[in-house]
Amino acid sequence: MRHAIAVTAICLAAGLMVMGVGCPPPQTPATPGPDVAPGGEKVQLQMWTIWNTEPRKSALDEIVADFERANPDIDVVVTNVEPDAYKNRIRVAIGSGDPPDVFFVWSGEWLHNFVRGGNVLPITDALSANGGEWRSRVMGDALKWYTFGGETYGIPFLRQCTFFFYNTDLFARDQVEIPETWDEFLAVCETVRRPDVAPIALGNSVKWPAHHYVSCLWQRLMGQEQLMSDFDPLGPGAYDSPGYVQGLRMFQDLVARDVFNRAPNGTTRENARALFYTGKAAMFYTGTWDFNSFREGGEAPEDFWDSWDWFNFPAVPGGEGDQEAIHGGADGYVISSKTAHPDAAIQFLQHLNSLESAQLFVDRCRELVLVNGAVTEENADDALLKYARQVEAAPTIVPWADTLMERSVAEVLLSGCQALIEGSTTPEQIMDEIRARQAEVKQRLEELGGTDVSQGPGEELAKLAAIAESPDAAAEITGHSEDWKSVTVRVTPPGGAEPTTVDLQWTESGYQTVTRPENDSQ
Amino acid sequence: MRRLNTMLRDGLFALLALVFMLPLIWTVIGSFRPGGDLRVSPWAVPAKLYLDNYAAAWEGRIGLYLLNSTFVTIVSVVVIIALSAPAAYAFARLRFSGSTATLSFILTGLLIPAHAVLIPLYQLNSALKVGDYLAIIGPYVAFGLPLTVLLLRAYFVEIPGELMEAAIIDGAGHLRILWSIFMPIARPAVATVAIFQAAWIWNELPFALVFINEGGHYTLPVGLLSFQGEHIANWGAILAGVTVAVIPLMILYLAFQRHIIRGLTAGALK
Amino acid sequence: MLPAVAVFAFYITYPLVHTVVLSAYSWSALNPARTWQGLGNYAELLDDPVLLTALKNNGWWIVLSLVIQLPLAMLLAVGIGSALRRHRILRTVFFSPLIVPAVAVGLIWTLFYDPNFGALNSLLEALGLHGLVGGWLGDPRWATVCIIAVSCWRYTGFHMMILLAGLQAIPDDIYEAARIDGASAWRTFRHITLPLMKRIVLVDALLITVGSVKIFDLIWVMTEGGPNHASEVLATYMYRSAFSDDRMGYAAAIATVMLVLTLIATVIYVRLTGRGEEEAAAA
Repeated sequence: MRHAIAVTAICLAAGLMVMGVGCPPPQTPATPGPDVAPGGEKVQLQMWTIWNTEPRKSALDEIVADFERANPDIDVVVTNVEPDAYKNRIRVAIGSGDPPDVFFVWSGEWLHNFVRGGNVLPITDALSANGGEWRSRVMGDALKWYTFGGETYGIPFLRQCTFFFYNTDLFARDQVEIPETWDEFLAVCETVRRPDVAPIALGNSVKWPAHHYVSCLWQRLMGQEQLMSDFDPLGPGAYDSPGYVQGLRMFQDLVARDVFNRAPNGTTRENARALFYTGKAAMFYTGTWDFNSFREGGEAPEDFWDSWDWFNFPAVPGGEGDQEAIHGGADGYVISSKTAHPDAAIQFLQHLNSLESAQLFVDRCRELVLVNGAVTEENADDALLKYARQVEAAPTIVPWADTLMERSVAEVLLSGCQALIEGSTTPEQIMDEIRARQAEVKQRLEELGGTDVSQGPGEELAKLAAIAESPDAAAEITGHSEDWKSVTVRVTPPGGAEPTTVDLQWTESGYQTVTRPENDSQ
Repeated sequence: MRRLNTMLRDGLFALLALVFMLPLIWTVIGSFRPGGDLRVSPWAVPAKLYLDNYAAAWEGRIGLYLLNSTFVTIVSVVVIIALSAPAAYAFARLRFSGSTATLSFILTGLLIPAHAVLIPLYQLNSALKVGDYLAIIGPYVAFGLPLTVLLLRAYFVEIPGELMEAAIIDGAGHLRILWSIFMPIARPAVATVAIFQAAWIWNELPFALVFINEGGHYTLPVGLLSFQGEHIANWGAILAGVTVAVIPLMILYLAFQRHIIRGLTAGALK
Repeated sequence: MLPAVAVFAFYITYPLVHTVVLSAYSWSALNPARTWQGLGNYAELLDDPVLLTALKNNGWWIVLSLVIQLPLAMLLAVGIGSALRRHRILRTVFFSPLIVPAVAVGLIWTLFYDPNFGALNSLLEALGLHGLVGGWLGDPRWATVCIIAVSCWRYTGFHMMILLAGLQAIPDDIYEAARIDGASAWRTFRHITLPLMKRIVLVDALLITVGSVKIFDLIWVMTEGGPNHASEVLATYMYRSAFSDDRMGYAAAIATVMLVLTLIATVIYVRLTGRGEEEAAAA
């Protein structure tokens, strides 16, 4: 017992000691403070982005500075996060109920997942305001991939597409013509092959590069509509078209022909890129993001800067898909459904999506921004101009399979492609696993929260919320989004007063009343 | 014969040392080459010193990150030692009810994978409204405690009991015994533990990455990531940053070692 | 001790309980809806072939790390601690890999193992050993072993330091006495050093074991657990489930499995040292 007292004494003493040493006065004010700055009413917007390297970082800073100059009452605080780390950081922030106001998203299932959880504010009305002025700025049908159940959830900003990049010197040496069909492509692989030159560089240690081949082949063979109905985890998707196995077989055949560098699964993407720009591989299937590595000032040696070009994934004659479709994604920004300043956030997105900002970004980064007229002769080089024209002319741009499939189903495909390279699995086996995983996911999503959870909180709950909104009055649901996340309720107070319309939005704590952005600005 | 043996042994150690050092030597050499060359000829030696990487690293605020890391590391390590020493002393020397249970409880801290606790810790940090520095120092201290208590306890147990008994007869309290007898004797152990904790905190990534909000508060490992973009990385600047981060630490450590040895020779073990 | 326990309880117990409780739900960080699964996540784990691979790999990590790092660290500690005592620089050298940030470790070693222009294959080719040239990190048979080798490079110095501190606590006069008795170096080591170091060695073995169960960053920067899950361990699988597949509950279940495994190791450790103390008390 005496010891116990002694221990306590030691602890207390140590505790006092620690109080002195352990809590240094914070050098800067604690967490970025509340919205109200000491001076006046200043709104602070938190923005998270993966643009953490130059020149993207500075370009964004310039755009933000322009915005703050035009809107002195709004302060935009940008946090630049390394892209791989961003994937977990944003999830942690949202899971803890403390997300940034505006944040970066990758298109496809990645974004859809956030939307399903009710984390993203729809901006459909703002896009359509003023006769759809904002909507008309966005290039092509890119907004399609940000629209779910009739609502649009953000803006696509950067267009990134994948092509077969090739070494023009090596192609010229062998007088190779650009292949247009799969068979021509296979022939080209044989022509450019040398003991010290692999036909194609493939760095598959991160899994997704090999899947690009399968993704493109599936699209060429079956068409995007078939794929979309199978990819939707809650759709009828049965993955039973023979095109799936065929696409995987064609990739397996490519591996069997030994067209890739040694051990693609053990090669990083960066090392594969180096094989390509050092002339140790004649072709490299990669994204337009590598422009900056191949260009002057990039990682590639000087003699390579003018020795590259690209062609689209070859056609598969007889396939049902659009044989000229381009594969690509659209990175963009969304607004958190929990933001305290929806108006300011929308204002900021509009600025980010303006022609001036877009041109500034193109000028600094030489990347394709999805705003009509952003790429001009003045601010772009030949490669970017060619690319922009190609995108404009493309009949359709389809996202890669792994960005559209539910994550854990996509994981089966990605690992399956690695296993195909190893030779430890078969196309049939991969498809069996995909079907099994899809069934599991479907069951899980349906269990999650009652009726049709992954699709939202459900109709019953919405009705309850409508009643709660007006205990004494008659409440009637007059409209709702497909997933029941946003519901419009008409409330008729007793005694014949004028009915009012209330919008409800599903949040973590149930339905909350929201006011529409344009109502605010009135 | 004995001489040959010694030479053989020294040679063996030197060879091993070289193997251990090679990656670091490569890093330092690489930091003086253009980043693009690293994959074109990874194992070449530069013809002339190329200093742009250091300029890029400096422009990328590597100096600030160094400062932040130094501050966070020193504060965390001091707190860890200050909290752990009394605990280790209690576990090693005092018999009290529930001591084994409490020790086991603290040891569970060794077992927790950082990624499993990101969300609850983030919630905790937002609820407490602590600043960026405290947001990581708190978890660092908590996660540093188990190893430190465990190691210090193991060393304290080895200290002969007579010393303590003599002190108690002299009327010294436990805190005094800890401070004026155990700590000096255990100085090599304390220094060792402090170095481990410093090395761990210096390199810690998952917590720093998720809990630090403001770019100006980044620690070095997070700061280094700002040279690594979505599809492009400035490897030259990263290697320069690593060199800048590692070399001072090694020098510091070299300097520290003298104290460890002095602490040993000055110790009360006769 | 109380402040230590308090800080600890605050930052560790809450997350710990959080993890265990949430392993009984199916939930995603992105969706407020949670469904009760009971032991459903654990039942699924039992059937999961990837988990089996991960467990097997963690087993390899524990065994190989113990077998390689512990003796090597002891050799270095004894060597440096005695004859090379003056060689302070050497000690720093062995410790230095630990302070290299993981992102640089990943770069250096993926260049070393690169199948096409990496140093390892170049060396083998230069030696005429063409048969041994391989895919290394891309080869499911080799990936784990390759990363364990890097881990030995990185952590042996750390364990050397732990043992060294224990070694320094052994009074010089004991060795002096042994030398006068004419004991050989091996006998001195076997009969004096080892018994006196027993506790420290046990602590170190525990650290290696626990570290091997929790290993994450080296694997993530080199293979992300691939190819086709060949180098997956519990921690990478947990990370993937939580932040890529959005299955927080499942990830929490994996984390709980890790906890239980390391808890077993700790209990064994506490038993072993506890017995040591009783013996000491009896003597």
